[in-house]
Amino acid sequence: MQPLEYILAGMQAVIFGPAAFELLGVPIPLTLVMVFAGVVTGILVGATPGLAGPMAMAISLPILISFFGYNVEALLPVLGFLIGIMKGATLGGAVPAILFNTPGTPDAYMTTLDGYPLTQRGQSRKALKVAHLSSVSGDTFSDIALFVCAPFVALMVERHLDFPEKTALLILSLSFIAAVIGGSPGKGLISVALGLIAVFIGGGEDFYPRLSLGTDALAGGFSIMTAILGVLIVGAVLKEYEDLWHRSNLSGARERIVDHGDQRLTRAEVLRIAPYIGQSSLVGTIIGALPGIGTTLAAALGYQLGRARYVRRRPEGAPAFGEGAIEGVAATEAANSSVSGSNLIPVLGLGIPGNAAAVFIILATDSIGGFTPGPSVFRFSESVVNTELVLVFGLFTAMLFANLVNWTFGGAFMRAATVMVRVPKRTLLPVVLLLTFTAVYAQEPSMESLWFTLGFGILGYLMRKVDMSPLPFVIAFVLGGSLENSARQAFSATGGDPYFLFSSWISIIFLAGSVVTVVLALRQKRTNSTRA
Amino acid sequence: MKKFLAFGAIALGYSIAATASLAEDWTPPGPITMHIAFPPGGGSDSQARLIAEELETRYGWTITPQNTPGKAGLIMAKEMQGAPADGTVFGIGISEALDYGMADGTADMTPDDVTPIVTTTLAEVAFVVPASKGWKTFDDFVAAAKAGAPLRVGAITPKIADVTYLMGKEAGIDMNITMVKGGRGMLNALYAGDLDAGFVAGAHSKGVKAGELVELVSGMSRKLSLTPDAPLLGDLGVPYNLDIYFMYFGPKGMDGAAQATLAQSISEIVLDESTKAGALLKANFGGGEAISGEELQAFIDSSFASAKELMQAASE
Repeated sequence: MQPLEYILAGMQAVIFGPAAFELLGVPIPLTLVMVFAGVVTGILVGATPGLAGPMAMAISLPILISFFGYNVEALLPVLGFLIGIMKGATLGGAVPAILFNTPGTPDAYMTTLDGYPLTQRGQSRKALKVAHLSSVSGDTFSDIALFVCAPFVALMVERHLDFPEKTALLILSLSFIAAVIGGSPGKGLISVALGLIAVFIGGGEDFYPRLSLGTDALAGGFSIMTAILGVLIVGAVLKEYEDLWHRSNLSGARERIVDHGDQRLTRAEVLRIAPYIGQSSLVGTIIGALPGIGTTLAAALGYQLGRARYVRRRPEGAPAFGEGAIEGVAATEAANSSVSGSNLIPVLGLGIPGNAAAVFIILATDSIGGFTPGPSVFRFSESVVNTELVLVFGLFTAMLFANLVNWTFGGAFMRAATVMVRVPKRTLLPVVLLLTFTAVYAQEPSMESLWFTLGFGILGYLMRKVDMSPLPFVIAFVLGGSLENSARQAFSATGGDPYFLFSSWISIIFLAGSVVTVVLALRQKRTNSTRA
Repeated sequence: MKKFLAFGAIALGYSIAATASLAEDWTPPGPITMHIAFPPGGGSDSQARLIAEELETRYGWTITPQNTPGKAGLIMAKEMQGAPADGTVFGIGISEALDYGMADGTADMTPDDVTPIVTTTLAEVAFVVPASKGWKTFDDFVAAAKAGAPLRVGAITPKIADVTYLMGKEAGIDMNITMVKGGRGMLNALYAGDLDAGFVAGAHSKGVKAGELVELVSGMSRKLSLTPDAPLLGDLGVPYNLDIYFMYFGPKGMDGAAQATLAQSISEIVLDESTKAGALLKANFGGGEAISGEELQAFIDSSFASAKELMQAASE
């Protein structure tokens, strides 16, 4: 098959794949229905303070798998739903930020700076329109970057990286994530170490189970779902409960929003915000491609660069950044949304997740057969069809469709999602907890797995108590197995050379990079605390 | 191949005839837990889940598939110890768990600690190299190994690693043998150029048909279906083979009626190409092969003895 035929086959896999139902005799493709449902769920979840996209992805993945099964046909509908959530959530996060000065997701904090003043001036609908336009433009730009770059990254890796280099690359990714997530490299490293210890329990090559303290319960190790849902969701819910204990639940009562004046977005205004969208999309896309940095930094950087530009070109009489400038909303929303496409570059090219959302994409492909992210996916094999490549183009088609849904219906769903802000946390938290345990039980029907999930939940709570980000833990847990494997393989492939990590320049550079990243992050932190 | 299938079918016929009266009487006393000794996803897991699905449809049983991967199936065998022997707990793994896996004694189990039920197919094990290397025969491979640095050869199970080592020893070449995870892991490493060769158990057939991979040696006791000219291990002076069956087994002392009914029902499904499971086996392995009863027991006994010898030979 030629490259063009692969692209067409991927599109066909989505459009002519299994049908969800028939509408007037026309079969409606299941994958598209799932993408649509994912986007709507994502917008609602993003608009609910206390919930986030990755949370919804975590809960829905086991439920989706128990529903669709493990066969390759399940891949596109399941991934379509997850990607829909990922894309919808960034859009939805702007809603409470603009309307109620409460960011729905952490990366929407910067949106409150100009979004809420706009609402106070009676321009909330206009602000939502700006957020919608910028968010979807940034997202689309980032997806295009993914489509173009992922195959090249994958091919480069296949050509230049051998077992030792792959091991070194994993070490570099983990130290990078430890250093940049959460603001404290020390705590990040501890988080990574805890994740590695947890994943190494019960595994190993010997028959005798490792680190199991002689107990049968630990001999099989922890399953990935109990660890991740526990640390990421149960931990967050426990922390929220504690916060609720300390302060009264304010999310039930909100002031009324009164809009006045013209709420339309004029052509001149679109042209005014376009350069800010472009600039932020580029920043967000570049940041998204690096593992671990994530949307919050992209939003902050996009906002800062937007402000610098605005100072030079601010129109006469227009509000400054922070006082309700539509350019401020545009700069933030374009930046945080343009992370979502490019963060799949390391996922598809290397099999390395860069943030929490990507973790669930990797988990979905790990659980469902027929698709293993990594260099071999992008082989444009001519004589026999490389089904994995067809699936990649199917995935790209699903992403484009998600963007289309965001472009067309996203605005209306954003306005409808305002209702989610009024859901009180005391109602929301038990529902999330129940759904989480149901999801774990659906995948592993044993009481043991529920206890493990609760145990990891307490660990996640304690980590949050000491300001330690649980994300390095999660990514270390996901990558731990690959790290051990590739290290073992590198050792035996080099004929038992104990210094295999220093066997090539590329791997030495990766190792040096991992040390330098941590040292630089520590210095940066010290400089910041001295200044403070 | 056909001859072998016919032989299997006749053997199956005998075992079914002998146990038909038992089979008619047995129904599971409760929901069944079907362990799968492979990680979720992948061809082996799909095979197991499709068989479970078909059993549920045909007989109305309730079956919960549960992945219990690790140590080439030994973790699942351990799971069987202490499990109820009434037919409500059994699992699918590979025959290597019962022969090579238990031969060195560290698992503290012997094949007698489980009840073999039925095989589903024989894995088409072949020594495979990427076509880009230009090696057409095993002699080409040996010549390349003698000419340069030690070649890197992957192995997906410890038994395969030992046989690979003996094959190299017999040919007088050094190889760096590297363990990889499953057929998919092996193919990724071969395509990426991280490995030069390795025994693959069926996952390679698509690549061979595409001309991207070449089969140099048959790991089985019979010829390869795609490359019938490739030598057998015996032809290369290695007196062992890699006949690896996918097979079901249950806890020790399993109820005879349950064992017979399960063997009969599962073999009907795997030999029927109109079922999804049968079609998958046809596509990946050339078809199902259901061996049960005494013939299966005899195979396990002989391969357990042979595995002990293999271990001894490889450690010398």
